[in-house]
Amino acid sequence: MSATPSATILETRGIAAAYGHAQVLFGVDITLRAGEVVALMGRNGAGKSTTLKAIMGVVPPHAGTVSFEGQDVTGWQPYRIARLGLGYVPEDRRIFTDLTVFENLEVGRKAAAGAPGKEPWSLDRLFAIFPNLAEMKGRRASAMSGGEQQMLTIARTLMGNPHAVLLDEPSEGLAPVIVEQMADAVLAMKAQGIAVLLSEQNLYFASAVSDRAYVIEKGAIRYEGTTEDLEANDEIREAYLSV
Amino acid sequence: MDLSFFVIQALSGLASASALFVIASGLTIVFGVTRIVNFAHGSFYMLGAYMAVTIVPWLLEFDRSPTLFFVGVLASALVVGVLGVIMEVVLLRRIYRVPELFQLLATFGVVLIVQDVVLKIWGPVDITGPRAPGMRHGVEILGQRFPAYELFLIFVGPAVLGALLLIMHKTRFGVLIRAATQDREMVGALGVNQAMLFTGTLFLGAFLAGLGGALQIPRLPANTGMDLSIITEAFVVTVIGGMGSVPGAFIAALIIKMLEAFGILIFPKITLVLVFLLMAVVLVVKPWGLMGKPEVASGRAVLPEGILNLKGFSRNETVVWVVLTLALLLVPILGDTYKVKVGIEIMVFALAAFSLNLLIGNGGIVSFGHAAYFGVGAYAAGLLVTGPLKAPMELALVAAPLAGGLAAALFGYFIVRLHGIYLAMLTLAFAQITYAIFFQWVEVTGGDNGVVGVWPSRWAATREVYFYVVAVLALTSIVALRHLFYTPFGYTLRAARDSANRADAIGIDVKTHRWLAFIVAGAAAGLAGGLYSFSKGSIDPTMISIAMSIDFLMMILTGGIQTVMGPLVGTAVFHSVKDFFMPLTDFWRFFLGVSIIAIVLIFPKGVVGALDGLRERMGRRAPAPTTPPAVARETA
Repeated sequence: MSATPSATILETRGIAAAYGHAQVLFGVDITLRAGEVVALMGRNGAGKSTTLKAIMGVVPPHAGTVSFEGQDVTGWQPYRIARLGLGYVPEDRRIFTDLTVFENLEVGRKAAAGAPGKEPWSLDRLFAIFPNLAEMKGRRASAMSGGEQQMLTIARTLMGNPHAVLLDEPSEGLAPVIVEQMADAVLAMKAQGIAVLLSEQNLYFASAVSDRAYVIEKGAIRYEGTTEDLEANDEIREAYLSV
Repeated sequence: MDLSFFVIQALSGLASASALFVIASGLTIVFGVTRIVNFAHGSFYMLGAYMAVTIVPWLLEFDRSPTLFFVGVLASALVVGVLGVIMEVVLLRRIYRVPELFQLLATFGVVLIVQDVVLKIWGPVDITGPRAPGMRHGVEILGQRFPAYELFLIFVGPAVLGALLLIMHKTRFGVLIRAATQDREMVGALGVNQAMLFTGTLFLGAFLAGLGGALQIPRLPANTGMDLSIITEAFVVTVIGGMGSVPGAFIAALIIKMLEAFGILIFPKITLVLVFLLMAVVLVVKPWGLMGKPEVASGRAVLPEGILNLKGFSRNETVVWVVLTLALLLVPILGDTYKVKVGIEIMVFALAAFSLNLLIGNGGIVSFGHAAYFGVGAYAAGLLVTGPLKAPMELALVAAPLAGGLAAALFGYFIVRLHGIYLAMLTLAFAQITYAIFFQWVEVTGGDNGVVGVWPSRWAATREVYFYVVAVLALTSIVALRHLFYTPFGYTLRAARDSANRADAIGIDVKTHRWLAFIVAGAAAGLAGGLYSFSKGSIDPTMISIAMSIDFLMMILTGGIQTVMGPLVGTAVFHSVKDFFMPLTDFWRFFLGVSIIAIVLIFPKGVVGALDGLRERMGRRAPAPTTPPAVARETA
């Protein structure tokens, strides 16, 4: 899809992060190239969400570097990173339940950063991908089902015209039908040339949408490779992914 | 009483509600977005009034037109809005992440600074503003005259409500404010610059406070007491309405002012008690207020870490404290009258501060109104001795802790049901209500002047002997309270402080334990108050004022909230400094305000906390480097 598939869009080098005294990440290296979908796999508490939060600046890393489109963004406030074109979809959805669907999208709206080559996201384009949302534009987000809320978080982030999106546990707690829709949404983003780094526990979901995968355990990357290789590697799956 | 009287009463209630809502809406919006309860909101209101009595008459010189009157009112509000922006950029921005206790204190520091600045610029005399041109007449309603300006005010509240709802729902700024009220971190992650949003919010909030103040000038002269009188009312409105909810503030202001307007017919003297009852009932039934949401208030630390290190005294420390105690006991023998007086006061305040830290440091119960129990004790003792009973000092000193404990039992029953910032605001509101009762019940309490002639019994009449009376009672009480920290009761309180839910789950009755702690602390503060009244020879409402509560908080903060003995050191330092410097300057409040802010920004662990930190740094070797667990990295 994208013009230069090999160009790195997001890169972390040795990032470490902690909550108070409890260190969670011990030097994580991840590379995301333009237009690809990469899964960050691992068990509960392995450090998946923290990695995404550290990249976004929500939990500022205390060591290592994060660079986005060649710019060192380590220690930046989340809003500045978001304005460069990095979108973030948190795991617990965190939609604004007091606001309507339309207002939620409004909060996420911002102009595309950098080169305005692509057509910016409009409500119409979003509603084409998420037809459910179009029907409930004026509804309060608190009156939506979990799956609808999950779609709304993605749509909200797309309103910011991101070049890459961090997607935290997109399939968690969703009914199988919604998981399928979610996979379609990820592929739709990929089709638009948006790079996606998603954290995931579900290998089937990950392999359905992603090109490559990292496996994280105890705050460090233990494996990286294509999703096919990961599926074939029983040893790694046993050690780091099976419950 | 006929119908027209009721109508007039209802109309003036509506006018007052309208004016109160304009002010409270700003407070609740600012809280919603920044999560800071802004004490200085009352100062913005006062500044709005002072600006208006300055700007409006000047404008009316040109032309006595209603237009210029309202241009002046809006200009005053705009100036105050800009002051709000300055406060956000200079102070608030630095304290969004500090515990709520510190935020409240820091904004109270601004209150103190503004008070002295206003006094310096406008002087101590009330300034009467001009009446609004075109609205100076009365309107005939059912045979009664009703001021036209009051009628106008009735429409201002709904107009402001409408404007705010429009802003909140129809503008991007408003949608962002509502989103940030719910989850400001997420708003940031979506690319919104929170700093700009917060600055804009402070402008709006301060503008509304200033508007409220400026609109008051035809009804009320600008005076230096406006800030604290309005902030209590605004707190009550936001707590009842639900913090962060603008419609809630509107409904609450309406209920309160109608209750006052009609309550005054039934209980002329105790409309305040009605408001208090209303607040108590609402908070018990709906702890988050009529239209509030739990998530708005919860999930954040009220406190810095409380007392953690509960080591008993080391041998050196024991020696230090014994020597200090002996030195203290030698003061009447070696020192002059001044030192004896200061010594008595330090012991009295040390007891009050120590009891407060039983609640705050040990229990995590942030009381912003500890002066209530201190004052109730002082008044109980003072009134027993001077009143018709002419009771002796000994009886009065038994009654003082009983009265303090009783007041704490009554208020605490409601207070311990709440958490976080709601709890802190409720303690403050109770203290202010107590203050108002003692202030207004002139026949018994002497009102503003208080009562003189509260002298000790004859055998204790000299300062030196009274010093030892205080020493025995205060020091044994402190030792007893300190013992509490080390009993299972103390441990239970700390468990409930660190996690009320987990404490609950292992079978601890959290509310009852907190209530008991509240009663014990109230009784100790009451005893301190009783002792204080005999040392002063009088009682007066400053003993129950917010300023007194803040002094107690400053004492434990100066000493360090995380230490058991810190409050004693803090009291000695704070009170000595205050007693020495206060007579030397006309700007004591200004300097106190600046010091409060400085402590919050630079020195949040207090003197003893800082010493502990220093000792730890000196005693510790270079910190162990953080090493990642061994990683066997495989690459496909």
